[in-house]
Amino acid sequence: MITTRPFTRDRARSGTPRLLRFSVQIQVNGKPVELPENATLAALLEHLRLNGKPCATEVNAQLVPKARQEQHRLLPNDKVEIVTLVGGG
Amino acid sequence: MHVEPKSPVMHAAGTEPGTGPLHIAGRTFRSRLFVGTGKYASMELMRESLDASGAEVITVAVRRERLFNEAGRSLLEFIDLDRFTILPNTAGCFSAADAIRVARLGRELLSQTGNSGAEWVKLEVLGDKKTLLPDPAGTVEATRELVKDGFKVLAYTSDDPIAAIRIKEAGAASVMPAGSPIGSGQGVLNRANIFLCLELLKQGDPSYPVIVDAGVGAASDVSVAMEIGADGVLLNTAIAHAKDPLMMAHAMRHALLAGRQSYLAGRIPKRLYASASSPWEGTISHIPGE
Repeated sequence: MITTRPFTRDRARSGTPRLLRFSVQIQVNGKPVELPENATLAALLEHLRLNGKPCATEVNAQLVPKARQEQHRLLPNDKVEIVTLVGGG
Repeated sequence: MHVEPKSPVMHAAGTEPGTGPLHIAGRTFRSRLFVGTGKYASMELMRESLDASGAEVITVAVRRERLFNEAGRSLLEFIDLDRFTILPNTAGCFSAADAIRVARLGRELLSQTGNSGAEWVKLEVLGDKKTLLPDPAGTVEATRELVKDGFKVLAYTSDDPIAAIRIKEAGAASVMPAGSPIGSGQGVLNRANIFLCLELLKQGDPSYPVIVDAGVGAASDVSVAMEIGADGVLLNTAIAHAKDPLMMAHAMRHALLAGRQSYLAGRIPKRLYASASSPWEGTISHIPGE
């Protein structure tokens, strides 16, 4: 469970933990992540501090272009892949 | 007296002959050397080596983002996107379906940068992890799908001439037969097969670009591929893992030109017996048997 802390911190700061329900379990790059309900792909990228960086996303093996990340809501058990370019031959 | 041969490729005084451009996938390049960006000891060394190689097309891989690693430096910070055409690969894919997914992710990534390689893909559909030899059936299938989806497919394949033909028929913009397995450094193991690939792929279509991809270990391997008649060479490990990558990048650039010039110049036929370079006429020595 690697990516829940910033969301958890937000909840603690807000003092209204009931507003954010951490009930959505997904996989991001093969690792389990817990998200608030109705979180979008764009929100996940922002949470991971990847917004603005060159990266491409897939949900359940289907490409989600950058232009659609704001609208794309993540559902329980979604498998998200976030990729970038690395050195290769 | 030495007489300069009349050569159809001789350019005006001061210019290097045999440096005509490479036309591939609707684009034109001065350099026929494509180089990879993997396996370098540092990003700085990679950048210098790319520069020394003279390459204009460089390959990259698509991989999972390392989450929460803010110290990680992005490859793109070290690449001049205006100078290089970036050719994303599908390395590590063992099925047509995965290669198609990775190609689309690569296109999405590059389209965000505005780089001219966005519609290109270096297609690799592998059949076996140990040898990294390509799966020809998967390569044909993925080529067909990606071409339908608007990609310019540069397809890595084995040196099997018939597989090469099938991949061209599937719509590949270039077929790229391997000299030997990826990263093996064995050079061009089967010159006859590369020659046959070239002959069959260019039959009735002489400008169809064929790039020898993979297996280069030393500069002479590049020359061999070019001498056979390849339109270009793609390599990575031979530079990145040389003792002095920067020096090797220079060597590769020279070797490519030497091989290209040798091909254009036309080699002499091989013969079993010697042919004296100095005239027999006027010898003052005793010649055995005469």
